[in-house]
Amino acid sequence: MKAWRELYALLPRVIDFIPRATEGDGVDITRVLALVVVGKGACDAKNLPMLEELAKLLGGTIGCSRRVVESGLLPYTRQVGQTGRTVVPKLYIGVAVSGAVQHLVGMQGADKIIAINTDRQAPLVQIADYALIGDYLEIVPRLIKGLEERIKNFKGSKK
Amino acid sequence: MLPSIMLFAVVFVAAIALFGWSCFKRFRLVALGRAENRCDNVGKRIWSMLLYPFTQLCTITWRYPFGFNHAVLFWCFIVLLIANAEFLLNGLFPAYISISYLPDGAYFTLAFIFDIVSIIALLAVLLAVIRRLAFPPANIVARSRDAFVILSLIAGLMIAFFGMHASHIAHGTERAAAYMPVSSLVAGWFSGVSAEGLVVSAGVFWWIHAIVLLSFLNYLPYSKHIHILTAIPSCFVRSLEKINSQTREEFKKGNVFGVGQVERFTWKDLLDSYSCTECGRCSDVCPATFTGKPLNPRLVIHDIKANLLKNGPLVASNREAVLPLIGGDVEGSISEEVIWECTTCGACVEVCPVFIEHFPKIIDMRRDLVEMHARFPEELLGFFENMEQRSNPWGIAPAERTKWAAEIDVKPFEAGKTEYLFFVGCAGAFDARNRRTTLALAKILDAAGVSWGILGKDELCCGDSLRRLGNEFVFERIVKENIKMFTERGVNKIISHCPHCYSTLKNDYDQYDVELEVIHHTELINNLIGEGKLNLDRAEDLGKMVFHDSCYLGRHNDIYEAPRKALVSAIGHAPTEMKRHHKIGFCCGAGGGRMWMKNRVGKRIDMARVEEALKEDPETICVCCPYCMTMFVDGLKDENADDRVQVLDLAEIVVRALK
Repeated sequence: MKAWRELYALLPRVIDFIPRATEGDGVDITRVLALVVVGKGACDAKNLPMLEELAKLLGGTIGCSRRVVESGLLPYTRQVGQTGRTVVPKLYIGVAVSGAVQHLVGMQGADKIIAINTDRQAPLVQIADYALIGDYLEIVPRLIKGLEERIKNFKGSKK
Repeated sequence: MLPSIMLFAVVFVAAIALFGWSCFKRFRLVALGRAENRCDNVGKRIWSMLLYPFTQLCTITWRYPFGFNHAVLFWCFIVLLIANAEFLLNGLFPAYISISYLPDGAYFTLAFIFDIVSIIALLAVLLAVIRRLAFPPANIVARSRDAFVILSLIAGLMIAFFGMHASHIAHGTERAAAYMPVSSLVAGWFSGVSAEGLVVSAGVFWWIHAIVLLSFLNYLPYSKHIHILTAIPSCFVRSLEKINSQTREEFKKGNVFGVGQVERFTWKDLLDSYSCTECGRCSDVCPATFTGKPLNPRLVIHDIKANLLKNGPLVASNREAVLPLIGGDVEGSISEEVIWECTTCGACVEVCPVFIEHFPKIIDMRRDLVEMHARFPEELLGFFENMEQRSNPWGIAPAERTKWAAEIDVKPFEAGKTEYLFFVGCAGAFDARNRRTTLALAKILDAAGVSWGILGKDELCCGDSLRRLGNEFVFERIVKENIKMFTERGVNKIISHCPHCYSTLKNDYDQYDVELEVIHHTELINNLIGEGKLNLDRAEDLGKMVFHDSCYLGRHNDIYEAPRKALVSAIGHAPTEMKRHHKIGFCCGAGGGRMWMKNRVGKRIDMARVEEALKEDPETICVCCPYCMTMFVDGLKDENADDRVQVLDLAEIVVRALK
């Protein structure tokens, strides 16, 4: 009996219960160094794996804009912007993100901003460090291929 | 007869005493509220008190045609007030007081009027019952016990009236019989009754009338029908100015801010909760209620009343309140999510027949949450920080404020040399889409030869969202910084293209020591056109044009016609109106700080308004506000209509018409 009481006293006490602590899929995009952010123009379940692959190669994860969350493709925990999370990654790649000020406010602290967009006049393109103007469906696979080769060559180098 | 008078006297005194005590119990709770001066400008107030109730202007509107039934019932009630007063006094002093003691002319006239009015009242009650059963309005509990009790009591009163007089007429003791058509008709149904029977029936109906009347009186304080006592005083103490501002806080150590307990409301707020007739018009026009949010203005007022009735007696005797005003999911407690859903559009205040001020109470409660408990939706944390540190909601470097003017020539505002300060505003400076409006307005001002200049990167946010979200502390800081800047630079006249900046600079800044003449760009453009300073051709190829009223322009500041007139000059014809326009224009959803908040429940308000606009099949939607612009652009994109419908600010349309 005494042993049970002693055991009980050793168990941790719950002092607070925070619901939704692992809301969505438990990923905290504010702590990631590289973000590939999916915009409405790339809001396609079919192509999401490709973008996730890109993010993985960069050592980062996927984020998205408000519209993508509202369409149901990704959970709210992935939202970058005024009503979502504020992120400060070292590398931000916006894929088909227009970059209205409501989104910009969530990522303007990023070190390097790369925009992939067909619209040259998109606000994100205007403020990006580098912009790739074209269809992401053509650009992203080439990026992935290029990164994979770099990684392979780096691993292979025995200098 | 003597024992009858004694009995009635006892009943009467008891009923009046009980009524007085019930009223005292209820109304002393209103006195718990904070002080507020609602007795200035007495002449205007007396006029309000006579005009609105007696013409029933507030209840009769096109949108709510059934209000006419209430008007009828009200007018009957006023007339019957005299009849019932006579009835009661006659019961106490039958030898001295009776309308039958008046000369024939007066007596017959009164008898006739009372007779007709009673049947009209009865019919109105019947209509009300049918309406509640067969076509109940949404948004209220139409088939409530309270409603049917009241309607039954009124009906009972009328029926007893006829029973009484019919008995006298059938008995031949009513000399005004010829002037009482309805009672005479009913008397026909008593034809078979003996004379003694008629005496009894007259007595019975008399007592029924007396009991129902006194019961009704005593039921009043416990029902929403108490509004017959509070409605007319409500007209007296109503706000004589538009409700477009809130009161300042006094930031002294030890003060309590906002309203976290019911007794922190002013007495007028608490009286409002009693005055509510539960008509549901506020809920009918509320954009949050319409889109399925938990906010329902009628229930907010109802909860305040319930909370006061529960906590009031405790607080009055210095005991602890038991029901929290904010937080609970029970009647009498307003949940936090309800408080944050409000867009402060003011539609609720606009349609209320008894001049209740709904949304200022919500802002008061927001102040408690923000200033006393730092409890607010998480996405506002970034917003508040940005405002504090960068004086703009997006936290963008202030140096970027002049980016919109990169390709044109803008002058800084110079004291003595420049007439108008063009207050660009945060949206107009930082938001890509709204920058185009700023540029358009700049072009118009130049074309008209207006002397204008800007503050450039020194400009700060006007602080509108801060105040509506309840963060009065940061708001006051920003206001004082702005006023210091305006004074130092000699700014008196300000042009703004944002209704929120306009309203805040005009109405809120008025509470601080500064004289500012603020004009909205729609007013200015309309004036310039009228003065012939703008040469306009007709702007072609904009197609069917639909106009959207901004809440902070229309309802809050009464600017409805200026933009429409300007549009007519620019496109040659009046724009198409949406179903809800002018005073009941539907909010775009961004006001009240909601621009910075996430849509958590229900439909997005901007989607609802866009759908309404699309019903008119427009090719162009004309807006006059950067918030509305953002909401419509976003909404149209999400409706996949952005390829066939464009949104333009009035300034952009006028620019297209410039020769």
